[in-house]
Amino acid sequence: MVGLRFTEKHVLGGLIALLVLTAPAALALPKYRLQAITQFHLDDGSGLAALDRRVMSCSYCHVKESGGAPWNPFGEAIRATFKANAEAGGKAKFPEILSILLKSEQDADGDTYPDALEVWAKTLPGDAESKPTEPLETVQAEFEAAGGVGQFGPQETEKK
Amino acid sequence: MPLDRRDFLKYSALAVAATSGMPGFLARAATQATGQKTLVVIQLTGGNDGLNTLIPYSNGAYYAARPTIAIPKKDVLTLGPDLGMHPSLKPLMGLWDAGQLAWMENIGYPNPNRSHFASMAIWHTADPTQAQAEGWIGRIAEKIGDPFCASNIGSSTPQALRAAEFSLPSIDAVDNFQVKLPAGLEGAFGAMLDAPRSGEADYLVRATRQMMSNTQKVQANVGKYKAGATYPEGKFATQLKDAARLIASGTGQRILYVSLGGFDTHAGQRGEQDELLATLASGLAAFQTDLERQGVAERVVVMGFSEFGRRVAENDSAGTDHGQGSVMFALGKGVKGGIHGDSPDLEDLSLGDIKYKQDFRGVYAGALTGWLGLNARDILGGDFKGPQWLA
Repeated sequence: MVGLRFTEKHVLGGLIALLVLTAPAALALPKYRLQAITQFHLDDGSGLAALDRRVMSCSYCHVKESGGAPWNPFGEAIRATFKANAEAGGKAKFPEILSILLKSEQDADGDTYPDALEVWAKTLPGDAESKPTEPLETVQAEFEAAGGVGQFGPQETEKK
Repeated sequence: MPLDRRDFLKYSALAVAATSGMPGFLARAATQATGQKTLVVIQLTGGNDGLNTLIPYSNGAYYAARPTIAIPKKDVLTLGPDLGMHPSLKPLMGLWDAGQLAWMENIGYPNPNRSHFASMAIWHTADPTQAQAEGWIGRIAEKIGDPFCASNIGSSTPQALRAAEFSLPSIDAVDNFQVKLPAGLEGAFGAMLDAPRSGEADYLVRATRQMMSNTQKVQANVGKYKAGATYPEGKFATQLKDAARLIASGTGQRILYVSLGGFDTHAGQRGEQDELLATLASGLAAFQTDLERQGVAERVVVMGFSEFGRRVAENDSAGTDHGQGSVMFALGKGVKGGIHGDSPDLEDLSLGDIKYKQDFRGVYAGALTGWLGLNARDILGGDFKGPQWLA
């Protein structure tokens, strides 16, 4: 190709094919959802769980599927935990707040199944209509045998 | 299009890049651009809270609006009678004391947009009407006819570095780059260069040899680089180190782009932002020290922005929601240190947000005209006044 003439347009156009055009993900993947998916062990390791709203939709914590205000009872419990932590001078981040909340044995939606138990049973802790079908004592025993609330502790995050 | 000698060399470099797979920044080096000034753009992704970054610590309205997340006066790094920095920014105090750190107050744009994507696109394209798809840095590349004049340090090229017909390169890891012809073509390429030529073809062969020689020298310099500072751990600092390495090695890019994400602090802001600002400050302090020791600090300035600030009042999650105006910063030996612009009036708000006073394109214009020696009007599509943040 030595000897060929290059016009600006040809050179620039040719480079299109050579440069790696990596479009940033134009998907809304709120970081709290991604952190919760990891912390609740809902990621099967494929990396696709983050993209699959069936794994954890926004209504896990929010009233609307699009997120934002208002929040369901579990979302409100998270917010209240953040506020209480800050008022006490704490600087806990989302994973720690989730852990604090689940350890508190609250039942945000009032369906008699504590939030941690519902997380483990994969029912919705912010929706009283969603709850395990087994009796509370049975589920509680299975949950404790499976490691209890300790399995939902904060996960290590990559340093930015 | 007639080519002068400079254009000829430049396009020859691109031709070599195109035929050899040579990484763009090395081909760019072949145009002998060392000695030029470099602008390092820092993007704080997510909407950094300006009020907890540059803190109006003498303003009672600030503390009234933020009962749990305000920075206590005793913790503020005092810059003046009314303003101070977040304590996590302490690594930058030396630059402030040396007059090499500038803060630009009340930065925004008309008809503010609280969407991350829309607002970031506005900052990237420098077009609040969102009519343009090309980034402001991509337009620089088009105007000066050099698709290697800037690089993103990272894996995904921001819209700011996209032009109409091409995208400026992203460099994910400097160590992974090398001059290497496609397997099996080394002999053919050498034979092509060895073939007797005359006239323009002979000139191009000689230019190609020279460019490959220069490129190999630059590549060797990249390999020889020894950091002049101890960088903290983490991706952001590593990317700044790569930026310092490229600058010190004479790769000749006019703009390098580095991002730090996670500033969308809707909940538990103190835990999130305190850590992020520490990452920002420790990384930038090491970067500046490194540039000094490499002897290139005189020709590098850093300019930082975020797509928007956050609401004045904290929310019920000990965080803040998307706002409008925020602060920008710049640092380096070429910067006129200090606070540029007035602090926002926290008792005269727009839907709970500060009212911006300075269009961000005025700050861009300073970088384009005052630092890079370019025609800001050509790039930004208009005349924008801004603070005199360059020395």
